[in-house]
Amino acid sequence: MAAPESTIMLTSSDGTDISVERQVAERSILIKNLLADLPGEATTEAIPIPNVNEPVLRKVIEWCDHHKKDPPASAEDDSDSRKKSTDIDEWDQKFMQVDQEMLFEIILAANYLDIKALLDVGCKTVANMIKGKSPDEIRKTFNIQNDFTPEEEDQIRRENEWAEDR
Amino acid sequence: MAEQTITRSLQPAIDPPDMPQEKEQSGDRPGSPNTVAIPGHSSELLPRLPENVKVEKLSLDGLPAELQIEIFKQVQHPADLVNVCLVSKKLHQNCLPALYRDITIDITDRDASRHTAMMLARENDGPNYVRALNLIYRSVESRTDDDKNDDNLLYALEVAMYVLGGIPKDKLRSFSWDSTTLLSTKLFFLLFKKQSNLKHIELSPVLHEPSLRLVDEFLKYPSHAKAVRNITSINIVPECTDCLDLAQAVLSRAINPINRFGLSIANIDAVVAPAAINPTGQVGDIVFSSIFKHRSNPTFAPMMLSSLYLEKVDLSYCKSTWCTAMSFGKLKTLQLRECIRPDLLLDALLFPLHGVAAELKHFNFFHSEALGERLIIPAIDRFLGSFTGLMTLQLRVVNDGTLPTIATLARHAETLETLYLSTWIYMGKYKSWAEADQLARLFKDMKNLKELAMPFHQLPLALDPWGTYNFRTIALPAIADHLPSLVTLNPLNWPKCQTAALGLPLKTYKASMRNIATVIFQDIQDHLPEGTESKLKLVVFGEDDSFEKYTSHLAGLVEASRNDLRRMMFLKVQGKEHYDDLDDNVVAVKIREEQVKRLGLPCETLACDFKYMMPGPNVMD
Repeated sequence: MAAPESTIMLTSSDGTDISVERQVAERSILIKNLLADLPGEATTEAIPIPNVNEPVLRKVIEWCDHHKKDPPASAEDDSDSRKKSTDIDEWDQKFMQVDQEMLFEIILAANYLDIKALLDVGCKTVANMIKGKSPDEIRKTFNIQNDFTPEEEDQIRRENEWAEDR
Repeated sequence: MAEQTITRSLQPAIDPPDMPQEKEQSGDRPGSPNTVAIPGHSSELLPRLPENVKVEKLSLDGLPAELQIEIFKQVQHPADLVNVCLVSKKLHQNCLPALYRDITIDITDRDASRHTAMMLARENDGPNYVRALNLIYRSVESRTDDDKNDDNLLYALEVAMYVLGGIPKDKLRSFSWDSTTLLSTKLFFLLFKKQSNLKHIELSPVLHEPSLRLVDEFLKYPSHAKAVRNITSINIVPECTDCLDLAQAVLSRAINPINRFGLSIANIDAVVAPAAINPTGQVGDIVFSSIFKHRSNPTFAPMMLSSLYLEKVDLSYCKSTWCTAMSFGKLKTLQLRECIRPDLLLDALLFPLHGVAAELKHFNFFHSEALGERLIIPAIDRFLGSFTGLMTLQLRVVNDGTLPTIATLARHAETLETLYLSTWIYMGKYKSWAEADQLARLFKDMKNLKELAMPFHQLPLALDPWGTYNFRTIALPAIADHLPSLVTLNPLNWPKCQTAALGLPLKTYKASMRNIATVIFQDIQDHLPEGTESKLKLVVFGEDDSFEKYTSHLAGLVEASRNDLRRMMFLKVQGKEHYDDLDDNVVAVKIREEQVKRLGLPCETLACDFKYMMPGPNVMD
């Protein structure tokens, strides 16, 4: 086991080396598993993260650094409660105040790097942008073209009438 | 990751003007399977940046399907999900898993047959994604016309059969029948015939001929046993010994360990005798020994529970009965409602046969048959004092005559997010803490508390700054000082309105409550340092409407209207008060419970009626 203060090097897709505390980087299950499979001396070399560019990788590291002390999420947790919280903690809310492109980049990166908690925060942030909006408002928010004919739209409405007012 | 290439939306997403419009990016998106990081060879393996390639900006539309699905699963309200479906064909397809995985259909509704027919239309792919089906049927007691009620039921059962018949085979993980009306045998066995991947099963009371034994019918076909073999969660609501035998037959056929166990014997026949010690010194508990008849089987292992719900169960001899069949080391949720001698189970949990309940996160406890003998709360004190880390504590104890110890609650202060403390003594008087220092000690360290429901000492109708006890100068500062995360505040007691001579109309009383809510919002905000926004969003008065209301301290209200009093909820908004000229004052507006849910405010205490809670979505995946 490496000393907690040990650092490792990550290389972003655009070739920038970023030095990061091992404990922080290990919030990513992908990196954690990778490091676990490596012989000790190999960790001195930079790990390429070919799918994440520098600005996104820095942002993800910022999140991991703030959450490095969080207890690891266990799979069983909250399996019992039906309530699912939509609330996002305050720091994370501020963290997620970025333009849409960055938001979706973070979601993709969190998924690729296997950082479940960050993926959740990202998905919740987008979910909150959807809540209470009409289809047209959602289209405007996310810049999506309507490719339905009025008949198709009507059909979907009728298929899902059971879900209204619930 | 399945997606090889990810399409980008044709239009760039709308950005704030100060954001750089062009970003250098690699063409490879995270998630493409052809890029595996191999350290030690970094420089050679780094994908080359495509030159002079303009990459469209990433947008919601450009995300891979599985990530869209993840996002939509976080959108909770079905109506919001329907709106997502109407956005575009792609979003429609990726939204169906979220919209359909856990569906609730009210079959009381006359439109239900039309709705379900449309839902099950061949064109709709949705039913393929159904994992949990919850059917609601409300029998209206006030309906005097019994024939009509029967007609409605028959009609509703037809719809239920139609829905259950229309859900594709083996898709369901959970089925529940939310009604006081009995389920039909046909429906019950149709479930077993069609669905063999059930994870959660509800053994609700079933309407059947006295000559037909359900357990015999169940054992008749091998497909029935096959249907229940994968269950890990069960809720049993028996009416008679036949139901108990059926439960035993189902439980003994489960091949995996049961981790969620619920039992409510509120409806059971009087024939089933309470637990007792027989002359030979052995405990006779028909309910326990019937359900766990197979416990003498050498392969029987105690259930390693994550959730336990018991209603009206006799726990007098639980140490030699129930506790032998259960292990508590992994218990996360414990709900006890109106059990007999629940204090004995709580004590047994301190010295369990199998595993200490040290990981408990959610504890819901409702007991109303105390006779002021002070058995219950001290047992709760002992229990809560034995571990730390509760996130939810909901207690409703009627007539025990005492309050939980502040020092005990303090053991969970840092982790608590939801606290519901209803300590009732007779005649609708609540016992509560009166002194500022008591409240300060109670709330100390509860920095994560989001919901608080408790009675407040002598909550007056007018929050004047005079008077002997003052909610405004004692309780509100304690809340403002110590509960920075609080979103929902629910004084369980109604503001006092005692003088019979007042003859206050309900409307005026409600308007006064709105004023109190406004004062609460304003005071808490004013108490905080400048620039800090108070998180308090919701003020609620009263308890769940299904609880009996004592209105002795509402004598000032017009008598006829006392029973019409329903729990009142007020939302904080910024607005213009019509009676002064200040702009953007904080005001309270009345809000309905559905709206609270829709706004996504924490409302666990509002939903708290201590009834069985269905398993969460993890059971379905």
